[in-house]
Amino acid sequence: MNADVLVAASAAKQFRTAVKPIWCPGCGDFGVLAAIERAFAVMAMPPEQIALISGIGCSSRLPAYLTPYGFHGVHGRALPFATGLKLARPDLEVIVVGGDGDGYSIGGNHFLHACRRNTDITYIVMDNRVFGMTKGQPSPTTEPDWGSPMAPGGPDMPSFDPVAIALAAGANFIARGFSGDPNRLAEMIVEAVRWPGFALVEVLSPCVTFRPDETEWKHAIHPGAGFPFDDRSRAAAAAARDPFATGIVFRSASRPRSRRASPVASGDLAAVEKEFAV
Amino acid sequence: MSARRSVAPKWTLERFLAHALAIEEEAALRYRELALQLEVHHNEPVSHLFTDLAAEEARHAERIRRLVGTRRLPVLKPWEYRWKEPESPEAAPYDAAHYRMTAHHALRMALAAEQRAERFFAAVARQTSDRKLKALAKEFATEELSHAASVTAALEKTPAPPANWAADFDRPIAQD
Amino acid sequence: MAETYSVALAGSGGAGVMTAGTLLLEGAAKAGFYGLMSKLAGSQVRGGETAALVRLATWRVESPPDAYDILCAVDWRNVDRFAPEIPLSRSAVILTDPASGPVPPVMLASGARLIELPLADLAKAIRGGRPAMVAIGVLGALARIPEDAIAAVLPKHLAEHGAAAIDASRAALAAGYRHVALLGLESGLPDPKPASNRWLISGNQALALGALRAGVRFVAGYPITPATEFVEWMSPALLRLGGRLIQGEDELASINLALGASFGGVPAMTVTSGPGFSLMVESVGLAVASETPLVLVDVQRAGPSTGISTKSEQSDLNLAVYGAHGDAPRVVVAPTSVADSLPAMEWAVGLAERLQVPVIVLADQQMGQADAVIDGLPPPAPRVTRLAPEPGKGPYKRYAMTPSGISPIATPGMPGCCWVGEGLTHNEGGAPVTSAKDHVTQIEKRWHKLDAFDFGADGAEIDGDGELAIVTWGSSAAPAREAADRLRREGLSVRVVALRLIAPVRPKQLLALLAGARRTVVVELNHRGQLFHYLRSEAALPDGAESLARPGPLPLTAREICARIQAEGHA
Repeated sequence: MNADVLVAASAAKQFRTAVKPIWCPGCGDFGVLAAIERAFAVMAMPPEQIALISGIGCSSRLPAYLTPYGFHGVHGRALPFATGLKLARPDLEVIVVGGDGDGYSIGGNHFLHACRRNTDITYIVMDNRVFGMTKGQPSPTTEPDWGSPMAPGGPDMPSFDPVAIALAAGANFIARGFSGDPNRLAEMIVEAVRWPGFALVEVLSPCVTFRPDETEWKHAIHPGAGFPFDDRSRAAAAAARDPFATGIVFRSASRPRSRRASPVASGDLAAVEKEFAV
Repeated sequence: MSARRSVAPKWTLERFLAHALAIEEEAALRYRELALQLEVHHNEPVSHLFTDLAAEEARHAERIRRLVGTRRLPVLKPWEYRWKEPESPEAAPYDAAHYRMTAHHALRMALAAEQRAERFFAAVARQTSDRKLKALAKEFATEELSHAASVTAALEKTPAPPANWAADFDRPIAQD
Repeated sequence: MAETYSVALAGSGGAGVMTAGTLLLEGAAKAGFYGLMSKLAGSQVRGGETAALVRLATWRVESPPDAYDILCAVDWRNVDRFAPEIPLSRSAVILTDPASGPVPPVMLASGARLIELPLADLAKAIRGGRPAMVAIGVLGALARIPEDAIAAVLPKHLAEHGAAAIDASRAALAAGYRHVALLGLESGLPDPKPASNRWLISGNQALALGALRAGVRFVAGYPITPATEFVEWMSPALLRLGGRLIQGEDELASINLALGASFGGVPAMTVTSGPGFSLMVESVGLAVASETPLVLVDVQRAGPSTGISTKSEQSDLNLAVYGAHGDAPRVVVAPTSVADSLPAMEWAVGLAERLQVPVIVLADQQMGQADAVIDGLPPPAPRVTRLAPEPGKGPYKRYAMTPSGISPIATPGMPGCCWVGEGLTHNEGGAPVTSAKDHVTQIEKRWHKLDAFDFGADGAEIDGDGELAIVTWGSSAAPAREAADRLRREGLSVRVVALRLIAPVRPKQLLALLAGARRTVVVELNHRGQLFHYLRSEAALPDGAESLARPGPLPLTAREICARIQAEGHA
């Protein structure tokens, strides 16, 4: 009948595991979790065809909360793990999830190269501008003057701009979302997953415990004017000018495809071994 | 990304009922989620309250299903609903929760939810020129008012939270 | 008759010495000889001082000689730096071109005989002729390799330089062969038996081929000396078989790329050397904790830190056995020769897939960058497949306890058995937990699956059953075996136990292999005896066992091992 009319409900039923999230009530990541499962439900993806890969941090706990395959690896290394998985198994849908510390601090190098490699994976970053799980140290996206015990007075250096860096590193699909709007975020995620190559979804996701000031974000968030851009410098300028503008920031008009699937074998082992015969 | 619709599609009965059902179902879903969050954080009284609220919303949803009968409702993608706020009106926003929240806070959340729902139905009633639909929307709006009234009554019986309700003498604990 | 014949050819500035050495070795192989070639080089990327060291024999030789019989120099620039690695016997001959100036005193100090060989003049008489090619003619003739055998391999190695270069080299070769009569020398190697089914392969190539034979179809690596030839050969070979090689942006990416592919069900590996291995150690722990199959090849070089990238050592054993925080048991396998690199890798891949564990393969620069003539191999053994879940056995638990400790592992794509791999301590279902019971259970499980596994006879190669037991590993095995042969000829009864399985340690089995020995010596190339201390700490050595260890960069020789055993011993 109309049993599956409600995507939100059917999504929760099909994709939520019994593992209870440890996130604080009020955490933005709940909104991202809802958005991801709704995106899966809209795309009618069977859970066994999906793999959620994460690093370390509050948001990296996410794979255990959803029914697909997943891997909760070490800090900062989810992107290469996911890249290896996708290259070996192009038939799977590979989604990487994690936070700003995991992705832009220790994972920064891999972030740069993932943008370059353009492997067909989707990277959803839950950016709360703090290292939450370890009690509130500044992260690369923390504002320069946000004080904490680790850095009284603030980091005193410009914050890392993931959109600008992704643009410079060659990423072809870059979106900015907000955890407080899981429905629009779900739409972005669907588009990102369907994008044939590396897709970044930067999600502003407030941390209720260490960044209670971020509760103001919902008043600042608005759809970005002129989004999506297909010109990198215009996209960078617009994104930098307005860090709370959401939507698809940049989408390459040429849609370069990601690496081809594994090549089909053209020879056999005996042929390879002949090289060594004297 | 969906085009910002300059002209919204006209309300039909089926589309309206799809929204009404979504409101109750997503409300129930959200209250169940919040109940689980607060259970994990050992706030039993509010967890139980959310479970009760979820059950109430589930009953509302059941009523709407009966009303829908065998009509085929459109399957809307989550971003295709015409909510005024980002989420469905009765889905309590995630950021309103707090591990030390009191029943008073929960009931205020519920009241705000019912009021948003009432505004939604009232707006549909205004927007549509279809008389049957207008009447139904008004009926639903009135229903929401009565829900709001029950919540208000419960609120009056619930003590207001003390000023230091959020205070926790213990500091946060680092994990992974 | 000489047992082996060892020649060193030196030259600089693009003289083509390495190619010349390869031609000599491959020509010898075609004629039926066994042989081993190592290379020496200065720090320049091109044009530096180089030497090709070739040892030939009618039996399978895999260790450097005690001393070289011939040192032939195209020129002497900086060759004195190689002196410690080109020891010359008193009956050795130094072939020197008068045009290239005086022989360095350190070379002369050996007492070797000096004979003039006008390579430059001989080469000049041929259009496009090169002194190194003339030298190969001389050395080939001295080794009693038929001229046609070397001539036959010229096109393969010189094709990229064009037909004229090949012709010139052919002529230079002939000139060298003709000139030999004037030198009045002979090698004394017996004629080789006619051979079929021989291979010429480097240690790095043998490791790579072993991985392919075992089913590896995903390799990730970061450029590092001396592992680079592995990835250079592997990349096109993998493509032909439908696999891929990815260069990671660093070693941290490389090991995780491989883990991701392995998680996806494709046998995967990464390759590196000491400095890269140090970087990868955290993710070795991840592979252990998440029970993800992986092979990690460490082509060891002289350490610590940046060390000497072009020289060998056996000093990463501690890192291989213990590296990673926490109790993180893994398998460590060490091939004992270039020839063994192939089956050792096949074994390692099979162990990783069966035991769902990282397997560290301790190779080294000496084997990795040496070319050896080996006996050709039979087709590969059937591949090991991962233990798959059986349908209808109830809800799937990735880390379920089993008698063997090995849990069935579902491959992504299989419906009904999704799982999330975990580096966090987890329960049988894989959910993160902090309970003492689950923590201890999983730690014991991961140890038990290795400890209870029957590694069979593949764990060690045993040679003899004498009263003097030499325990060794990796590239020290070949000189240890030669030393044992020599000691036996002097009347000692000797056994050699070359361990292929370094971890998990098997104290009972090792003590049984050493039972009856009156003296045990552990021979290895690192400063304080890493294998010795490891075995002793696990009570795997008899009382009174001795360590015979020294650091690289010079390889151990049979002579040195004999001398130290006899000096320190009550034989």
